Amino acid sequence: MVVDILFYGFTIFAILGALGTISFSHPINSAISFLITLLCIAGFYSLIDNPFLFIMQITIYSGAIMVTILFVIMYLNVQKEKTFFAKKIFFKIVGAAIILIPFIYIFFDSLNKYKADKVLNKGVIVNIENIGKSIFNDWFLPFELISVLLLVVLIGVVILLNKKGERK
Amino acid sequence: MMYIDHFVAVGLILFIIGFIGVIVRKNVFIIMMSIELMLNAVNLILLSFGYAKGSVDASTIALLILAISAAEAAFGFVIVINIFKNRQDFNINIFNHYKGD
Repeated sequence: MVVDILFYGFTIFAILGALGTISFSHPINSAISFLITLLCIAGFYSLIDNPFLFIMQITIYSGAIMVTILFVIMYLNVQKEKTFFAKKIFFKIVGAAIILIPFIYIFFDSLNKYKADKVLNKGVIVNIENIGKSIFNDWFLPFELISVLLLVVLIGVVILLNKKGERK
Repeated sequence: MMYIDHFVAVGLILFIIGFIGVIVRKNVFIIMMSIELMLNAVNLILLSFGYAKGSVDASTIALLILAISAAEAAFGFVIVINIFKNRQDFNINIFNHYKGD
């Protein structure tokens, strides 16, 4: 019962936050709405017995990425937007629907394979220990590649923000 | 009783909202936040199916996606800052300037 109430509460706030993200005209308001959505998604992770991703979602997304977004918005002193929507918005929405409808169909088709009697967890505990074993046994190469990617991003950011001509 | 369908439906709704945000809006910041929203929705769907199958691999992949999205946010905002320094605008149409002839 409590789980149901939590689920519907998270759902309502996640969807409202997502709608606010794409409909506010000032980016700060959008960022705060987006923060609400991120926290609700962290709540979903806790509902599906995933405490590690719950912590990671709050630390990385709600912490690091949101601080980056808010810092850049405030650093650049972004004002309200004058040109709110793109041109020919109707045609773009129709185009988006045409692109998305096959995906939605595939989604609900694949959901039929997960009927209610199959969705019960088979007793696998997702904790830090198991995730660590999974990373260092099965996903070692992607893990190392991501560390290389983060290094490349670090160097690229420093180079892009420190152009020679602007250093004076 | 919760079913996996509900989580997947929420993830799908969030993904569609993010997609519409990318297409409809003009502000670079909101487009980047919509992309992050789509990544989050995909993560949620992945973890829901992982929960249904009782697999740890889904959590690992979600963790890697988190790292990639952090890198993407950092790099994307640096590009935005550089373009703003040159052109003083946040409209996504400034990228048309870089289109070839």
